[in-house]
Amino acid sequence: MHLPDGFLDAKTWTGLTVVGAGAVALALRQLKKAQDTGNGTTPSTRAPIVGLCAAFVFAAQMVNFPVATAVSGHLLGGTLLAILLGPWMGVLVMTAVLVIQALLLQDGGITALGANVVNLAFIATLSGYGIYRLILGRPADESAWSTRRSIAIFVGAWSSAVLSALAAGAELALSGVAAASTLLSLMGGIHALIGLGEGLITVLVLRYLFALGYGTTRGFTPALNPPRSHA
Amino acid sequence: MHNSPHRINLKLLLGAAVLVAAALTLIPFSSEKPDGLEYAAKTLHFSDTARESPLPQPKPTQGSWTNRLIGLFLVGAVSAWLLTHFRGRTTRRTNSPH
Repeated sequence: MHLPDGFLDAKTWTGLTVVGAGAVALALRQLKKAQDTGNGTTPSTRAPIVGLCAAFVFAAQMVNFPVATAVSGHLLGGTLLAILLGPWMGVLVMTAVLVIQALLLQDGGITALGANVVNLAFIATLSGYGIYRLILGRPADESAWSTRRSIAIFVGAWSSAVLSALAAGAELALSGVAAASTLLSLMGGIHALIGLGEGLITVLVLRYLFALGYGTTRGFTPALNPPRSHA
Repeated sequence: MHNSPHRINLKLLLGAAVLVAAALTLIPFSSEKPDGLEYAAKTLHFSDTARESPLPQPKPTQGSWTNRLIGLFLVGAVSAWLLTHFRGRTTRRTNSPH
C-alpha cells in the first residue's frame, strides 16, 4: 500500500511531507526523552536481532499473498516492529524501511514519501501498538504468552492495516481522484481482508520470537518496562 | 527460560535470520495480483495518474536482487544503529556510580 508518485496532488503531498517530517521529529524527540530519563527502549545487545527483524519486515513487504480472487496484500509490519522495539523506535525503523524502498526499489513515490511515512510508519505503527496495549491491559505476568496477548496482537495488527488504508483513502480523496465515500469504503473493505493476513503473520512471527526467548524477560513492552536490572 | 536482555541470545539471532531467509525465499512466489491500493486505483480508474518520480532516481531496477539485498542490509544496519544510538547514553548512565 505504498502510494506512488502522481496519485496525490501537490498540495496534499506537500502537506503530508511536512506532517511526515513532524512525525519523525516527534519520534526522535520521544526517544531522546526516554533516553534522557533512563527509560530507554531496547537493550543495545539486541541490536543484531533488531536489525534482522527490520530486515525481515523489509523482505516480507515484497511478498504478496493472495486475498480473495483479484487482490493481494503484504505485511506492513508496523505493529510487529512497535511491539518488538517500542512504538517510537518502530516509527523510525519503519521510516527507514520506506525511504530505502522508495530509493532502491521504487516501491512508493519520492513525492509520496511523506504520505507513506504518515500512513505506514506513523498511523499504522502507533495505532496498532495502541490497540494492542489497550486490549492487553496490564497482564499479571508481562513475560507470559497468553491467548489474550495473541488476540491483542491480531486485532492491533488488523486495525493498523485498516486505519492506514483509510488514511491513504482520505489523502486520495483530498487529491480529488475519486469521491471520499467510495475511496474509504473500497480501501477499508479491501484492507479489512488484507488485515487478516497482517494479523495472522504478526501473531505467528511474535509467537515464534517469543518461543526463542525475545520476550521472556520483559514481555513485548520494552518501552513501558525498561530494563533496569543492571543499574 | 530466563534470558537476560543484556546478553546476545544466539538462538534468537539465528531464529531471526531464519525469518529473513524465509521471507526472501518466498519472494519468487509472491502473488502477481494487484495489491489493495492498485486494485482500488484500477477499480476507480485513477491508476493512470501514477507517474515516474519527478526527482532523479536510480535506473528502474524494481525486482533487482542486488537492490533488494542492498536494501535489506541497509535497513538492518540503520535499525541496529538507531537502537544502539538511543540506548547508549542510558546504558552509560545506569552503569555509572551515580
